[in-house]
Amino acid sequence: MAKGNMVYVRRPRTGWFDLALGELWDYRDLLATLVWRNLTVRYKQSALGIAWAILKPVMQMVVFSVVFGRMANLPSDGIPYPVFLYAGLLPWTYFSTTITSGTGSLLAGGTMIDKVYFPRMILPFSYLFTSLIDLALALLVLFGMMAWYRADVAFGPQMLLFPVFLVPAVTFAGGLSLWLSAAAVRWRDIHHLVPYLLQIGMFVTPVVYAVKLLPARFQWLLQLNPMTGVVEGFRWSLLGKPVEGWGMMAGGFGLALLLLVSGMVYFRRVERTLADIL
Amino acid sequence: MSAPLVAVEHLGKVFRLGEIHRDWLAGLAGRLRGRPRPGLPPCLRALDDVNFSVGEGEVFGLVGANGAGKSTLLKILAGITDPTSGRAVLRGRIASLLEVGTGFHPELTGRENVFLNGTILGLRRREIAEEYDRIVDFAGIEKFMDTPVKRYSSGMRVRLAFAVAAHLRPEILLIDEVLAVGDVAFQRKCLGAMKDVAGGGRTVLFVSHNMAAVGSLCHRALMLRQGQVAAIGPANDVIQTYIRSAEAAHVRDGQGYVALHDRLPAAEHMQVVLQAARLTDDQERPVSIVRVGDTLRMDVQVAGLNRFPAAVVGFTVRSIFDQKIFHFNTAMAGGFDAAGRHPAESVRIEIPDLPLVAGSYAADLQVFEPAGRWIDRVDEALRFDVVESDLYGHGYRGETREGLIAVRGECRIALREEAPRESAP
Repeated sequence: MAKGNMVYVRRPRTGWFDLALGELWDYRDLLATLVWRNLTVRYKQSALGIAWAILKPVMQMVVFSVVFGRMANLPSDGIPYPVFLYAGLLPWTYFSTTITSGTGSLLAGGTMIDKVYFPRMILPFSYLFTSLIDLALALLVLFGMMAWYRADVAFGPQMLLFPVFLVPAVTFAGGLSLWLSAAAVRWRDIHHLVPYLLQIGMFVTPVVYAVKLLPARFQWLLQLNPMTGVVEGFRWSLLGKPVEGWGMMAGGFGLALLLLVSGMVYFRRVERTLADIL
Repeated sequence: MSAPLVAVEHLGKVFRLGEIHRDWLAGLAGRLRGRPRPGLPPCLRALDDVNFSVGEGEVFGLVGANGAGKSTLLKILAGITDPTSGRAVLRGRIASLLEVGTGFHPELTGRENVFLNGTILGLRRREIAEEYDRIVDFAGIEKFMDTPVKRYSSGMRVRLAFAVAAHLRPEILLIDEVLAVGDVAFQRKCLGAMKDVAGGGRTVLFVSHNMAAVGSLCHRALMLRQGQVAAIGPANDVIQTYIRSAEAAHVRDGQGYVALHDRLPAAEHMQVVLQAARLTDDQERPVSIVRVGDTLRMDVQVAGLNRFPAAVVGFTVRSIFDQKIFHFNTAMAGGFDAAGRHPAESVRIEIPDLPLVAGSYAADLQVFEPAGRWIDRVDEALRFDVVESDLYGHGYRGETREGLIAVRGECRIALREEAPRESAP
């Protein structure tokens, strides 16, 4: 139900670039309600509740610190491994949980899609923001660790800039969620594929190691991965780690933006017959 | 005259049947071994050149057998799916109620679900907050608003969901069969809410199998048959057409029989005796709708009943709320002559002066030994609707949906022989 004095025309749609962004804005309250529903439902009837948003990355940090830091002795650009790892793990966890839940969002919302009209993009988009709340909570632990390792952290005004690096993360996760959720409606195979893609993704992003682990002539490839920019940006702003290759990483952001726009176009195409094939 | 609120022109919808890509890899392997490539899957024309328009403040009914395209039409109007051809123009805020409680999440509380359901239906959170008290009041379950919906009974869920929907403020309301749920008192409340919507100058499109509801709510109606407009006009005329059409119930053969033989016995020691059943009117025409006070005539085809010469054939009529209303059987009617029975027979049972109020009903068929041992039974073998009629013979159009049965009666008025006593001093 949109604003009054509106005329709706139902007819076969043919265009490519009808992204209906205004309509998305009209339904912003539904987006807010779904963001909050995702969060409540995820932690209902668990004793620790929302504390899991903190516990999950912390436990992962402990395991990876032992395996990759102690046993494999991976480089961390001179910063204590746990805090180096955790600063990278946070944006990566944001990215992977968003992609996982976003991919299944249309199938999970099947009964809603079949029975009522609303801009379907809201379903995958809602997980972008739900995971941001998880990220905000997990950041509290990072701030604690920064205080603990304060001798190795360069405090400075650049610290206020870390939210800027969420922009490419949200863009990239949003674009990929749109592509994957729409494709997963037609090809359920996507669901089997995504966990492995994310596993590979974590190793082509400098989460558990530093960029300089790679030979210099291959580093640009790594930097084109939009998540590299996010992870490196977090470490630069929060830990004061010197970072090279900003130009390539800006290119990575461009790729993420391209993915988002093309994802919206593709999603709108699939949306037309969504209720028929779900 | 102002432009119609809903204008539908040459609307069509084609569905592709079959799976979307049934195991592509297996298909490829088959083709390598020389099997032909499967052709394009067949198509189903769900809607074919549908035209109509609905004006302001009109309640418009959509009727037709299952699969006639009613729900597809509503989904296109609601914007859920696109048509394949033609177009529909809707002027005004639209709310669709194709299911009660869309998006209700079992883990969330009643209060949380009101906001979730309301925003899905297109309300702003602020609008829901303003209406919240009225919604809770309408649903009548204020004690449970902080309980997760998974602990609700299905009736409570329906109450809450319809309460949200009743407080939408659309100019065009699309409703699909929501009256089939809930108890009678709540159903009446919903009907009242729908009448209010229409009374407020808003337009309602209403899909239902319940002819009684269509008849009492709608001004005009449209009947669909296999995706095409079969009849359009004043609601009562369209209902008459629908009643007379042989397709008005579930699968029937040329003589209106519903096949019952293709099944397993209900229990191990039981047999398949009941073969087919139908309802007819007094001129032997198969029907699925009868009028209050008419004769309910049922034909039941049986096989092998000669092996149980004393067997009783009967049926129980249940309301849509699964309430048993009455049972009648051949023993009550005096039974049959047990001698000279044949393997294939047809049993006719008649209930004159049917005392059911308007609504939807189901009949369970039973065959049993007089001692009570089951021989065969089919629950919900027949479904039928009862519609209002001039039961009392003088055009009374008042409340006839009160209670479960409709009775006739008499009344007299006379001067009392004794003058009224004065009140005590």
